[in-house]
Amino acid sequence: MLLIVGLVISSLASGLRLQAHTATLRERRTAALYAMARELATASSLDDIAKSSLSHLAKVFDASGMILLKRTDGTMRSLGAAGTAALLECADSGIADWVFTQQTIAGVGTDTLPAANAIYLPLNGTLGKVGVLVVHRNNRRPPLVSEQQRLLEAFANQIAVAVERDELRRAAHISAYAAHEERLRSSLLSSISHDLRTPLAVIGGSASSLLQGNSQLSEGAPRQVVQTIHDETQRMTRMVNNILDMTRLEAGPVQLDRQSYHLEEIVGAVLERLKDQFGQRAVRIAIPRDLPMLHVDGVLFEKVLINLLENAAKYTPPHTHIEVVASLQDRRIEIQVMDDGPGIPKGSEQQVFAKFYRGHAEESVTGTGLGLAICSAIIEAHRGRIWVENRPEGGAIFSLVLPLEAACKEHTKRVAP
Amino acid sequence: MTAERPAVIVIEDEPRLRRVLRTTLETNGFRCMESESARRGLLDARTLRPDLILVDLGLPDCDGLQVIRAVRQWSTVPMIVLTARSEEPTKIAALDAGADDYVTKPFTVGELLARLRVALRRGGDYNPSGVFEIDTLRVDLANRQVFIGGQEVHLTPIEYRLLTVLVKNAGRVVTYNHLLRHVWGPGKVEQHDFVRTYIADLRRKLEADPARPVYLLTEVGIGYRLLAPAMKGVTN
Repeated sequence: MLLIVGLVISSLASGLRLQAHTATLRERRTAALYAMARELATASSLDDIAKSSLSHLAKVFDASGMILLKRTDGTMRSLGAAGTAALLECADSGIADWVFTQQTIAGVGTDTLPAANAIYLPLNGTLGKVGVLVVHRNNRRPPLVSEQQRLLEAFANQIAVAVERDELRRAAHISAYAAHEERLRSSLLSSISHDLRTPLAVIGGSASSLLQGNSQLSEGAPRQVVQTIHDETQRMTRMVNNILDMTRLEAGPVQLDRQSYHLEEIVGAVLERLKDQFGQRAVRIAIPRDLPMLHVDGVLFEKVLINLLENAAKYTPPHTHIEVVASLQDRRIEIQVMDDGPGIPKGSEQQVFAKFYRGHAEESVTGTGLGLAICSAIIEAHRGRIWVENRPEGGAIFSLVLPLEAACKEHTKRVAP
Repeated sequence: MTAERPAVIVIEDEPRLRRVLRTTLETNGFRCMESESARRGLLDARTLRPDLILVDLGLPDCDGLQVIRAVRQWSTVPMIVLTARSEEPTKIAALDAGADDYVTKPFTVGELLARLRVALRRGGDYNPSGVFEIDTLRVDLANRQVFIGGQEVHLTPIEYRLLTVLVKNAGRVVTYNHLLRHVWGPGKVEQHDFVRTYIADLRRKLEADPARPVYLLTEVGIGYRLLAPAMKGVTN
């Protein structure tokens, strides 16, 4: 009796031990799965996904793995670097293809193709098949027990979901980018169609009135009409040039032809070029004689000053005072273009540098809304900074700083797209 | 040069632009001949012996630069280049290849005519006794003296040489490289800031307001142009 009781107890105890052992194993595996899932959730690229999933695979199953993803053209590409070369040799693309289409596990320890030297698991995400996971166990270890195989399948699921998530994220990113581009394009189109059609209409109308003969035109009118055609053509030319400049600046890395220039000289050239546009506005220049030479791309830097001074002339009433002031401050050259006009709308200090930004008050003024965006792109290429603020006493100050040392060492710099 | 009406060959592939140029030239006292391609233009330049060639840089059959180089092999005829904007390197290449000047499209008639006049008067705007005069600036090349409003200005030897190179090319754009070669010699080519510094000094001596030069005009990234009588009356 005692013997029987003893036997029962011992068998029960050993059953309990076994259960306890299985529970521990299960717990350990759940923990492993959880650890991998957590890492995969934060993976930000396919490479990250491959790296963390394969390292977990190695730790838990003492196996090396390879993730094969189906390309859109139907071929497989491998993901994951560790031991890939060796693994590629033993991975059979025929089996991988079969597993992918059949969505059935195959290889060592399974019912299908048990003679193969690796295990092939389908990677199946929530939206569909994404690829195949190939697992090659080290040191000819015994086949996986069913519990381990289930865990491996759970691993595969996690990997598939992570891969799928990454693909979705990239698709979302691309479509957000496309939407942004699309907004820019339509903004450009409406800007171009409005701003270029207005002068075109004026030119066309003026020219046709001249063509019709001057019976209806009073004395001196033809000259006025021709003047209008001329002015509008110049305006259009400026717009087209701005559009071209912007396109060029955005086309890729800007090659700066940096040379040493006297600021005074560039300002002088700009004033000469814009003298007709200033009209009665007085321009004061305050550049210290000992200001170091600027190490800039002269042609591009001239464009910056042209745009700033042209704006100062365009958006201010006649008789406005415009000033160009430069100073050396802490190994930086600061240049300010200021006026005592109406200033810029409060709160739009950042926006004015955005492409196609045009204030409401500016609707009567023609332009593409590109001038300041061009300035900002050029100054950025020179590793400088440009900003605007309103003067307490009224008017706007556009300031730009150029670093001295950086300016002398750096020869080219990329412009952020 | 033909007695009254100088002959100009326009090498330009765009027929509408050719038409405008023809009208402009003919109403302003020039004879105009049109060549629609580089090959045709080179042929015409040899056979028609023009007084001036106006050549577009963007020709379909060959680069305008090659036209300039080819013509320069056998002729010193003044050549003016028609270019698009923002192409400073191309402009410099054309000038270095032997073009006299350039006009940026779209250009005004005043600008174009001023360039033509200056190019046709090549060889200097100074009188036989070697005096160049414009507004209050007077450069006496024979006596090596420079005056502003009758007041003699003392220049250093380099400043004076720089000024004479510009005087001899008055009204034409002179590239940094040209100035370096003719003032400092062949060794200093590419040191453009050299030129800029001396020009700044020269401006302080000659210009009432150096920041708004009247005589020594800047073509940023290309070089300088000395105001010349033939440029007067140009509206931008």
